[in-house]
Amino acid sequence: MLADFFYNNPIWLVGLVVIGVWTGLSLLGLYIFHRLIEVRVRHKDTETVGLTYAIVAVVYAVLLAFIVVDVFETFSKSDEIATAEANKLSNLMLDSTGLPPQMAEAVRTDLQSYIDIVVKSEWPSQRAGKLDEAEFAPGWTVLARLSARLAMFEPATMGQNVNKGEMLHAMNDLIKARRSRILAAGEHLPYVVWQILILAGMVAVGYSYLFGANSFPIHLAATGLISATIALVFVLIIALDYPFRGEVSVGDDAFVGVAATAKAAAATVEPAGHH
Amino acid sequence: MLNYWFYSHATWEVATVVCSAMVILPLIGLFFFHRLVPWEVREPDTKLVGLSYALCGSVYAVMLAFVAVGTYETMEKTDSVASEEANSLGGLAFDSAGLPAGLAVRLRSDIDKYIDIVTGSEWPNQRAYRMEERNYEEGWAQLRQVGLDVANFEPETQGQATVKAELEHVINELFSARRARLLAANAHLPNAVWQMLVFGLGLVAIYIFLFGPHNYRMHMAVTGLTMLSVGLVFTLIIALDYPFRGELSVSDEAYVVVKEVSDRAFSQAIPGAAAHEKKK
Repeated sequence: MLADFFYNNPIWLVGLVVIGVWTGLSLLGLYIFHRLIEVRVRHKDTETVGLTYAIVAVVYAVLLAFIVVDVFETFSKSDEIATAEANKLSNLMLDSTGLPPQMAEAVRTDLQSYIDIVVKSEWPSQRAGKLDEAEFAPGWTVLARLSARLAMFEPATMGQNVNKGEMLHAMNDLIKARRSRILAAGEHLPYVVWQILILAGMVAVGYSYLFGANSFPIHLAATGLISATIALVFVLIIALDYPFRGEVSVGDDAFVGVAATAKAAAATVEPAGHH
Repeated sequence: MLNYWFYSHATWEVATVVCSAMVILPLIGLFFFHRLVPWEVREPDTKLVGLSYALCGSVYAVMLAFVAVGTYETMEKTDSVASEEANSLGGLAFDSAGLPAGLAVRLRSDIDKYIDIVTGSEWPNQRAYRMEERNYEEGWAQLRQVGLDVANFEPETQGQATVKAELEHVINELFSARRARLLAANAHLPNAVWQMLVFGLGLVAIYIFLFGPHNYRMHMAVTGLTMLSVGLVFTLIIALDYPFRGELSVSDEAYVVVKEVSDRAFSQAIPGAAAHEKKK
C-alpha cells in the first residue's frame, strides 16, 4: 500500500510527503518535549548532551550512508543484469547467421517475439510491481521453444556444430540473465533494515530534544534540519530501491537497441540469403 | 544456546530483549558509578572527557556501522549464490530438450527430485542450522545421479555430442554453486568480532559514566539513548548474520520457480514433452 504510493507517484511528490511528515512529526515531538521538560533543566547540560551525541550521530550517519551506497550498487547491478540479457540476445541473433537459412529465420523470429514480450509486456509489469509468475509465462514459453529448437537441431557440417555449441552456451547465459532480472525485480531493502533505520532515526532526532537552547525557534530550526536531512536520505533510498519499479528504474533501452540492430542486420543479410 | 534463541524468535522480540538489556544494564552501572565517584569530582572535567570521547565514540561507531554493512553485503552475496544454483538447474532442464526423449524425461525428473530435496529437507535444515554433513548427503546423492544421467549418455550424432558438452559444463557449475551455498550457510560473524563489539561497548559505557552533568536524569537519558541506538544496530547485525537462519534469511523461492517455470514452459512450448511428463 505504502510501496504503491511511493512508486506510482513522481519522486518530487514522494519527497515532499516523506520530508514533510518526518520533519513535522519531529517538530511536534520537540514541542511536546519542550512543554514536559523545562528548558532551564536542560540548559546547564547542553554541553554534555552535545559531546555525547557523537556516537549516536556517527553510527546512524555511517549506517545510513552505507545503505544508500548499497542500494545504489544494487540498482547498478540490476542495470548490468538487464544489459547482459540484451547482449546475449544480440549474440544469438548474430550467431544465427551460421545456421541453415530456415532454422536461422525461425531462431530470429523467436528472438524477436521474445524481445517484443519483454519490452511491451514484462517491462510495464515490472514498473508497476506486478511480479506474479503469470506475467512472465509467455516469455518463458518462447525461451523454452527456442532452447528446444536449438538443442534438437542436428548440424549437417562441423561449422554448424560449432555454432550450435556456442548458441547453446549463449542460451544458458540468457536464461540465467532472465532469471536474475526477474529475481532482481522483486528485490528490495529488507523490512527489518527499514524498521531499524526508522527507529534509530527517531533516537537520533529524539537525542537532539535534550539540548537546552536559549531560543526555542533555534532549537526548532536545528531539529527540523536534522530531520529533513535524514528524510532526504530516506527519499533517495526509496527512489533507488525496487530497481525495476517507479520513476527512477532500470530502462528497457538495451532490449530496444538489440531489436533495432537486429532489424538493420536482417535488412543487410536478406539479399544474401535470397542469393 | 543464545544463538538458538536469537534465530528461533521474531526479530521484534529479539530487538526488545537486546535493546532492553543494553539500556538497563548500563543504567544500573551508572547508578553504582554515580555512588562511587561523586558528581563534584567529575563535573569540572566534563569538557575534557567530552573532547576525548569524540575519538573513542567515533572509532566505535564507525566500526559498528561497518560490521552492520558488511553483514548486510554478505547476506546479499549469499542470495546470489543460491540464485546461481537455481539458474544452473534451470539451464539443465532447458538443455535436456536436445537429448533422446527417454533420457530427457529422466533427467528432468531427477532435477525435480533434487529441487524437492533442497526445498523440502535442506532448506529447513539450513534454517535450523543443522549443518551436519549427513543432512545433505541425500542432496549430494541425487546430484550425482543427475551427473551420471549425462555422463553415461553416449551421443549418436554431432548435435547430441554438443548438447552433452554443454550439459557437462552446466553440471560442473551446479556442483560448484551447491558447494558454495553449503559453505555460505555455515558462515557467520566470527566470535572475535562479537567479542570486540561487546568489549568496545563496555568502554563506551564507562566513558559516558565519566561525564558530570548537573542533572542526573539527563545523564540517564544520554546513557540510555546512546545504548538504545547501539542496541538497534546490534539487532540489525543479529538479524542479518547467519544468512540462511531465522526470520530474515535467504529464501528458496528461486528453486521453486525453476521447477514450476521449466515444467510449464516445456509443456506449452513442446507438447511432446508434456506428453512424456504425463506418462511419467
